[in-house]
Amino acid sequence: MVDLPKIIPLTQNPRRNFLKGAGVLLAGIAGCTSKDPFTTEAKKEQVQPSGEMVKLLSTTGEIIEVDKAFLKPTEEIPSITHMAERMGIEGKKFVMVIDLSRCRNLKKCQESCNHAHFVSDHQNWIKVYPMKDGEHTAPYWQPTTCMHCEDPPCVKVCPVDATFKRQDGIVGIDADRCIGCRFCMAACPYSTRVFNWDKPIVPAEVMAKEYSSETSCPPKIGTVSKCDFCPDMARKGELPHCVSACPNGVFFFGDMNEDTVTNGSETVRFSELIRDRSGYRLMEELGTKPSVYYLPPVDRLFPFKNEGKTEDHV
Amino acid sequence: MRLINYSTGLIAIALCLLAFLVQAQDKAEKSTIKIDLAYYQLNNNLPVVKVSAKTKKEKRFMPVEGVEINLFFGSESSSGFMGRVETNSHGVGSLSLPVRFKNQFDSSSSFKFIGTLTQNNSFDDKSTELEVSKAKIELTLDEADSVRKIHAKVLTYQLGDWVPQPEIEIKLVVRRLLSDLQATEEETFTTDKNGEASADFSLNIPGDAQGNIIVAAKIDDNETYGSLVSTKTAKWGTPVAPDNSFAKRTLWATRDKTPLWLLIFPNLIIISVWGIIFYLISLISRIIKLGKTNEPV
Amino acid sequence: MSAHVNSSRITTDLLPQKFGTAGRIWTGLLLGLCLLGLYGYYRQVTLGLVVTNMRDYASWGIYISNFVFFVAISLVGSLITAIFRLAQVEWRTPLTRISEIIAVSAILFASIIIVVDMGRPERFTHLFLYSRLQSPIMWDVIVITTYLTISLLFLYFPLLPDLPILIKNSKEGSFQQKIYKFLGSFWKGTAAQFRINENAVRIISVMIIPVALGVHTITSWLFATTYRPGWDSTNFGAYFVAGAFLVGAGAVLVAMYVFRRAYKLETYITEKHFDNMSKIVVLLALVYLYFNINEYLVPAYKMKTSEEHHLRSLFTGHFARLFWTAIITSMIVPIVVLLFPKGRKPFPAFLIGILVVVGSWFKRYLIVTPTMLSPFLPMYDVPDSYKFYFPSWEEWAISTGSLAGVLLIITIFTRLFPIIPIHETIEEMEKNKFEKV
Repeated sequence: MVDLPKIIPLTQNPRRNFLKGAGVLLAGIAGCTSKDPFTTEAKKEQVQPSGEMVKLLSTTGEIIEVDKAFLKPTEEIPSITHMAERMGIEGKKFVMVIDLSRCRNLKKCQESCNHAHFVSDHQNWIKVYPMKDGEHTAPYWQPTTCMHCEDPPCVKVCPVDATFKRQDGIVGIDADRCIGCRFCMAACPYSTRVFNWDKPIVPAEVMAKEYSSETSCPPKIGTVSKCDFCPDMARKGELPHCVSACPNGVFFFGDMNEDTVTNGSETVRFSELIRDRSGYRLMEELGTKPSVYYLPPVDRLFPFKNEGKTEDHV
Repeated sequence: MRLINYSTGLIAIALCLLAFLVQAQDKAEKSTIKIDLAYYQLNNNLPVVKVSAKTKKEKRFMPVEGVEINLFFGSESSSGFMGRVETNSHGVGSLSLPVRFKNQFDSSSSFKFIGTLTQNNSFDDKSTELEVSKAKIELTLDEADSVRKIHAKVLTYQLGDWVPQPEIEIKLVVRRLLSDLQATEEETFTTDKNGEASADFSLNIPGDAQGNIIVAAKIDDNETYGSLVSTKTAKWGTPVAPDNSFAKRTLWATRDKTPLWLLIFPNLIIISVWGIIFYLISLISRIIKLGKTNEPV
Repeated sequence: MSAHVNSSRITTDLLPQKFGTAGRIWTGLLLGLCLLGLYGYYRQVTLGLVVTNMRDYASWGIYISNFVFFVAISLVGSLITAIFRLAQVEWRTPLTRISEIIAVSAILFASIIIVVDMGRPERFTHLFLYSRLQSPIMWDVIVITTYLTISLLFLYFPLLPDLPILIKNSKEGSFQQKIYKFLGSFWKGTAAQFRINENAVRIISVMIIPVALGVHTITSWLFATTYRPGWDSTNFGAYFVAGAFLVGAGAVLVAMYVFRRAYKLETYITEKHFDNMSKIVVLLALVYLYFNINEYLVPAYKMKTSEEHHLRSLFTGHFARLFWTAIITSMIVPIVVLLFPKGRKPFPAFLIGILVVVGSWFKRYLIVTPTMLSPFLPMYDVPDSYKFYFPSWEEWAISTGSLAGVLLIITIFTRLFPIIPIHETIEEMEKNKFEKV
């Protein structure tokens, strides 16, 4: 697990502008994952001792008294306005590259994504398909996320603007707006959207939070959900959960405008990766222009083994 | 008589076994936790201590979520208490050195961080120490005759002074959104006797809209000095024209950016049809009015 | 030979009658089904859509196929009432109000069943507050609202001349009379009023045809604007409209027979009407069969990978029995039987009408569900129950309830208003007598 250093975005932080301009309400917490403090100059701790002391037990058995105010030195990261969530991060164009030659169907990506977004395992946002394109072609495992298409058919058909395309390329869902008509599910050719037919199984404190389309949390009954490319993690300078979780480095993620993608340990130039490894997109002929590229399963790291029944859906 | 002796003996053995089992249960209740501390500093900011908590399950180390680790600077005492960190789903957490320790930090050439876990129901008490010597990287970028060079100098703080440090592995990178891209042909450099390392920068890489990129020199996970990063912004990237497809009228845009043909023609049709409908409704009121005047049937 | 038509006899024949035993049992049954549907919906609203058997792959089920079915049937209003009016088809008179009330109640319940299908029905207002004109659903909302309004007007204007007759023949001070008076006490039958009325009816007759075609074409675009096999067809608009006319005509055949028997209207809905209507059904069935051949034969000739699974599931696979039964009962059998004069007699025509309607309902089910179970990417990483779809009892209850609702509205309408326009019939008969003389 590589810890990625935090960086200051190259362009002006639009969130700050919106905070100034839009008059933000500090409504709720920005993410479902636990908060990580920033280390930029702007976020230097400015906690004053409160005078109230708390007792801690040291490992040597001594009792240490500390000021209560120092126990929680991190400030709450103010939430982004809904308008900012719909606009996205300026100047970025998120892209993902999935290296099919390394995937072994460990499903660590699925586990970590489900865990972070409170997704039940019958609603996997990431599905790892056993693929066999033709009779004599080689089988391979294909992890499939939302493609975050440039020309998204799901966004076109939404009657209430509940799913939207952001300027950073991410297709988001506003679960407070969604009426549950499921037209987007019919329109998506990648079968990537799932529906909350039942009440989501989520801890109570998460359910009480305000919905954020950047974390897609808390999920709501009667609405649609899907992979969101974890924009809340990108804002913190971290990779999406699936990318960090994969032990084989299958997922690469980055900003196409910077021409750089990383899988946590390797950082490469996106254009070089696609050119040298002949990257392609799924169902290119449909014209959806996905933001997820695949590297063909050549020079495989692992042979294809399907212990469970392969879905032969003819 | 013998029977009673035997049964007493059996009961005694049974009780001993029970006591042993209960004790073993007690012991098995709490697992051991492994806490790792790492030191990280960006430019001249206050350093950050990164905490990683793991536990051994079935011969593999698994991250531990949701434990609170107490961090101390210098000594495990109330004056050295930095704060408390809760590990996330990956088992990591971080905390920057509070401002009140700044003077102590500035004046020392080496320091100790202590991370402890106490009063936890699932894990035994644990304490870990990390000793770090203070160092910094001076980064300069220069451009002469369209040849770009990066110069990095590593200095350590010894006896009140900054002294160049040789034999340190250093990387020169371009900082990107979520990671660092290798900026030079060689992956790593080692500082010479003057503590310096230099390289040519020949990447043709996109920057922001003005062509700015952040060039950095970094020391990754050094045993003595931790992780250090020093950055500088330069106009060494190609400017990226912003993509304004978001602002265009498209079928997938928001409702205020409906394509014009979709705005004009359907609305024309709707208005004309509903115009006729309202006309028909007006005909009803005309019939009503005619009916109110008393004409013979 | 009397020069005057016995208008009072016509009036007595056509006035709405109280329910007999059969009528009361019928209404009771419909109410019961509606209540059962309401209970099913109550369960759905409180427990969520999980009570249905729709899941992530078959995310549209019989609510949507019911919706398409209702929209299809509602086109009959424009067919019989408008097209026949414009074509001056003489024998249309007894059928116009029947078809118009079928149209109105069908399109009304189409809107209701769509709200039932929504995961968050309480957010229905979002459709108006945040509407995106780029979405085919918005287009559908607009046309359906327009079509409902026009159909109501198309029901109302021809009803006006009958209202004085109803007012005169109803009990003084009764609730019924109050309704009639509210609707048309101002109708005095003057020449001026008649002129306006006829003008209005003429305008609507012309206008409702493109709107009706638009309603079902746009409903077909809910499917045709997606990439899925079976839906990705340029044929869909015309295909749906042709099917709509067929099922509407079949429904009229059924309604004709029921009203004829229930209200003893043999003089008005004659065997000639059945004869003519049956011939129309044959024509429409042939047209729809033509579209079906285009829709299925051409992709089958190519057998594209993405479409192969879908087509095989229809022709020989999971849906084969249903597919061939629907085609045979809604098209082949009607064409064959109704080509014979004996087949066009009232009772056989009625049976064929039922076959057409039931076969068409299953045809719409076959348009919605099989495509959803043939996605581009394999069905994987999901529970096994996701790979199939058979509606749950709540879905059946709600769908049957909606159908019962349509029939209930028609029944209540017939209880209050003459199902055959009285004034128009009198006028028609007078014109005939005059011509004969």
